[in-house]
Amino acid sequence: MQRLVLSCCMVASLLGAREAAAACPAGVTWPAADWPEALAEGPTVAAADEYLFTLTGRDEDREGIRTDGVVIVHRGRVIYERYARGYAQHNRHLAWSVSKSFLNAMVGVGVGRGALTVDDSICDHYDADGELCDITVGDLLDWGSGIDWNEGYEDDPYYLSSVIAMLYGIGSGDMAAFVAAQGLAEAPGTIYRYSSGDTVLLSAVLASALGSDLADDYPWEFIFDPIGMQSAMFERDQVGTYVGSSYVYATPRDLARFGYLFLRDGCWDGQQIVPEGWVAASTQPNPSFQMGNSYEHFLRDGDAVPGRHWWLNLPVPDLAHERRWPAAPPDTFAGLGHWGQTIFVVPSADLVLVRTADDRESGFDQNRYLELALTLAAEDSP
Amino acid sequence: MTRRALPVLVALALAACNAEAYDNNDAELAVRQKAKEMCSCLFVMELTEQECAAWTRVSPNVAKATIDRQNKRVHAVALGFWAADARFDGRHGCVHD
Repeated sequence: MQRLVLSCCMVASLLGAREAAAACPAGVTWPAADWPEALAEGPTVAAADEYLFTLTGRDEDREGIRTDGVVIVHRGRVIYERYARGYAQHNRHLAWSVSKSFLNAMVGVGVGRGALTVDDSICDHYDADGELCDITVGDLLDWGSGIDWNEGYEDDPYYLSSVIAMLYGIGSGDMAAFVAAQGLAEAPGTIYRYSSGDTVLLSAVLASALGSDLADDYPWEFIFDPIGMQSAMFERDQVGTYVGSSYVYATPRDLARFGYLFLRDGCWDGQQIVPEGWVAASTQPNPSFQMGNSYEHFLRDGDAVPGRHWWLNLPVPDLAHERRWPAAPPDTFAGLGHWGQTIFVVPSADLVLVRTADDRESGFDQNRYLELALTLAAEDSP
Repeated sequence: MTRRALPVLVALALAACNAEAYDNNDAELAVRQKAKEMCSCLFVMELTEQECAAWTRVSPNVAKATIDRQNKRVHAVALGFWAADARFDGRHGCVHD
């Protein structure tokens, strides 16, 4: 019953967001073949250079801050751009889990086309059965499937990590089948647990819902091509499922296009790419998280508040948890990836930040980075 | 103990330690990680071999890669026993064979 109430709230929220959403904005700058530039100068630029691009540890030991690229877009123009450590403007960078936010957008387009709904059982589209049929598309978007999963990385024992087994081990042939075979640890929709497995299963569900005509091409047809991400690559497993958890690659400038799509509420140059209301619904605390059964995982991970495959800068009063990035406004949301990959979107400041990196330690201060970027934006003359 | 015997004993110990949870040992995971991520680093991210060696280094650092640039393939081996391959597939990047 509690789940039903929340589901109804989400539907109402989505409808409300639809009513509130304006048509595609007029009078804003859109990148054509490339981004317009209005590169900033001055002491804040120097401070950003120093903080973002000064190696603070032994590079050969992969210590300290190791930024590979930064692109900051304010009011549709690049105001800051730097590369380091062998990277240049043309190099694609692995987005790691920022890829999950891309899959969110692709599911949104699929929903907009009527191929699936967030309330569909995964069994409406994917060859699963039994208890797994209680999982909805929305549960997967919320990382709330309840599937038994250990999202451990290189700092944890490899043999216990579900995600390492999926990417490189016994699950790497058919990753979605591997995820489904893990079974449920909790009832679907009752608990939030960050899981690359949920995302990969969602990718397989989406492909099945779209059918064979689109299963190969949908990332380009839905997102990459309409917003001009010419550098984009998206890797698949051996049975052809896009590894939506991990394997989108693009240049930082093209990653900024994706952030800009969400900054503009799913619009691109007058065209509604992601359905109206999808961005708003994806950037609210997700229903599985709101059930309150997952705070232990949340506190342990120290993450931002989970939306639907995006991360939010909201407080959690029940936990006396302040905003993850206090220097940034509460409407800030982000795609976050391993080793420091980030796309930040700050609607109230008309700002998109992309950082690619190889941070093998956790010493990078995202809050300071946001503070510097917001200062650059404030200094950017209209 | 000879230098040749040590890696084999390490591998056997790893395999024995990893008998529960997922049925992979660290050497097998490392070799598959090396093949796939080296392929992606070289042919998707377009970095140098030296840069990609650093990007793909894991612990235990037992996997060695052989690169076929003409066919855009990477073959990785570990401890003379485990092996894996990955190939570049255009806009779909790299995938294990």
